[in-house]
Amino acid sequence: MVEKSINKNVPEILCSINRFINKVNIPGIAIGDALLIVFFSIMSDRFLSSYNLLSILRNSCTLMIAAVGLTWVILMSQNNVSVGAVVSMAAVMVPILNNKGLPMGIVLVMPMLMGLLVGFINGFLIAKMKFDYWVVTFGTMSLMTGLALVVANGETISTTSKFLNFIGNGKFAGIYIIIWLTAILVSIMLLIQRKTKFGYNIYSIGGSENVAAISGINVVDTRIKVHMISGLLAAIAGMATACMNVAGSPTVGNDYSFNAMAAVVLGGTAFAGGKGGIIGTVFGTLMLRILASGLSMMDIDSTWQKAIIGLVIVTLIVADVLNDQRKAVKGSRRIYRDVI
Amino acid sequence: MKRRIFMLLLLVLLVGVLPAWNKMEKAAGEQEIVVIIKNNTVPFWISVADGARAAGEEFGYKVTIKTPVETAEGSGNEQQAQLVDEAIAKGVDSVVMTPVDSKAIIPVVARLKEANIPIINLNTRIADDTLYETFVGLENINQGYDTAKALFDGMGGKGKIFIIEGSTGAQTSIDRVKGVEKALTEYPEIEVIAQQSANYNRAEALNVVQNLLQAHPDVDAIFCCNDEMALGAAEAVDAAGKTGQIKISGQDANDDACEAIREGKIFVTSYGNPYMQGYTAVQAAVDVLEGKEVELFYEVKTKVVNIDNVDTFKD
Repeated sequence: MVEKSINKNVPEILCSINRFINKVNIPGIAIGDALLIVFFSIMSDRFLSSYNLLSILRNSCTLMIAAVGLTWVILMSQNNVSVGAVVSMAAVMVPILNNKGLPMGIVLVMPMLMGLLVGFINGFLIAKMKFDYWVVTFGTMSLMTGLALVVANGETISTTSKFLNFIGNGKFAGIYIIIWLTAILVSIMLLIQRKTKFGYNIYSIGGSENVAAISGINVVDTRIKVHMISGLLAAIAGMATACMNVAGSPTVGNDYSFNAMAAVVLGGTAFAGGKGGIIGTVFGTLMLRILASGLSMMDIDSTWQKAIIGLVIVTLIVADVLNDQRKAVKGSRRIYRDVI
Repeated sequence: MKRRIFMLLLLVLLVGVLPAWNKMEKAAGEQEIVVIIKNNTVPFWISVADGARAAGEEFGYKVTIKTPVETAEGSGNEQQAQLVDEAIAKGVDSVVMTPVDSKAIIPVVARLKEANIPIINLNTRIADDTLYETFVGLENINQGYDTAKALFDGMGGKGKIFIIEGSTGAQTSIDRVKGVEKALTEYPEIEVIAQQSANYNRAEALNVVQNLLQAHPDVDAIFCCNDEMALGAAEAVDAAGKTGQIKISGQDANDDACEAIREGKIFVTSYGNPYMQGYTAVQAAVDVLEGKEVELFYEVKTKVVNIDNVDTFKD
């Protein structure tokens, strides 16, 4: 086993824990989440309450949807910084369309189409026209950030809709609807990632684009689709925030791009591509929210929180890169490791 | 593998380092008031936090200041929502709320109400006034009125003015203009010859005032709905070589504006007294918790700032 040789300098007990983790296939980040929960429960007596854990889950939902969409883009060793802008745009589209008295179907479909369109533009320019993905998504980011401010006239737009309020703040079987919806979306994405050819193709392209192309994968087509899915999920995340607030703010997505990237990378998906997956992102998002909630419950100043969360992200990324380099040297990097 | 082990080590580190911050466990029987403000980096909000803490000490309550990490309207709202949820989970006794987004915060504040935690609304009104016990803040109409009166007195009670509004639809701007209109009824010889918005923005105000000066070179004074726009207007007036001839008024008394008052570029501005805002909000929360009769509105008085008191108004 590869693991054994890696861990020869580590105490035997950690090795056996590690082997157990590998057997049941829980991502490392999930263990980190669990440990953080234990830690914060000790530090603050009110942290471990069903109310708090549920609100952490609910507050994770929108970021989780956006980050899951971004995961595949990063898996193909690209990036998309327009996620936040699409979130903002979708968030203001919902109340604007609803205030115009349009039927709920249109109110819900139009933002999704917008997300798909932005994703298509990104994908087309990047995959087909071979433009740099930073430049392209930075461009669409500016475009959508600006447009969101224009259509909303720079203000938060509130609306009244029992349906939207129910989606955003209602409960089913004691758990918020929004959590159910997120769970369903993530499950669908997970199925696609693990059970379809498309899912495997993403890993192949991320691992090596040339090899993927030679083995007959339509790289351009897959890339465009992945960018469209990223746009769609960002739009759904924006719609979810609009439902939760029963209002849409044109700046709501400002920090989504970066936070989504952080969640993806925390979850073990490397910027180099080909390694990682959606489950990691789910726990990465949760870690960000658990950290924020726990640190705040310990009455740590918000400026310190930012620094501590930043420290955690940086150390994990550095650890990940070092880990990758070492594995690359040993020639034991396995592309499909996290798929199965 | 190594990352997992690394995470373990990191957590051990966190366990070791963080307890230093975990001071002050809630003492038995001590009641806690959480004050959620917009940020803790701008001087205005630092003063609000100081005032709130001082009141907490004076009345014997634990006051915790909470601020969102991000301060933009949208993302700030999301984090304020998390702060509110934490307050509910913690079971605090009262929450003083300053929403970054007065509309999007409504469903969040409704959860506080559901949990029977009294809410004191500070500084920026929550768009649904059935949710909070009382509002603590400035009366922007009075602020506009006081500043306008000082400006009109400086003009000798007669002449022509521009009014530079803030962002279209912003309540602060609407109210301050109302205050000017109220003052105008007492000064019949003052005439408003132009009224335009410059979005509370310095650069925009510079443009707007430059254009207006072309059309109306005979203006005597410019009333601006905040200091940033007053500073923009001052630049425009400076460029036209009319500093001192055209009197400019702002609102907020920020540091740049105070400097401009010392230089004679701005005639008068108005101080929102953030320390008293924080203090009064906690006082109102204490009144609610002790079952005293609570007024619907606790007005924090503003101060007119001009060349005479620019160095002393904060005392």
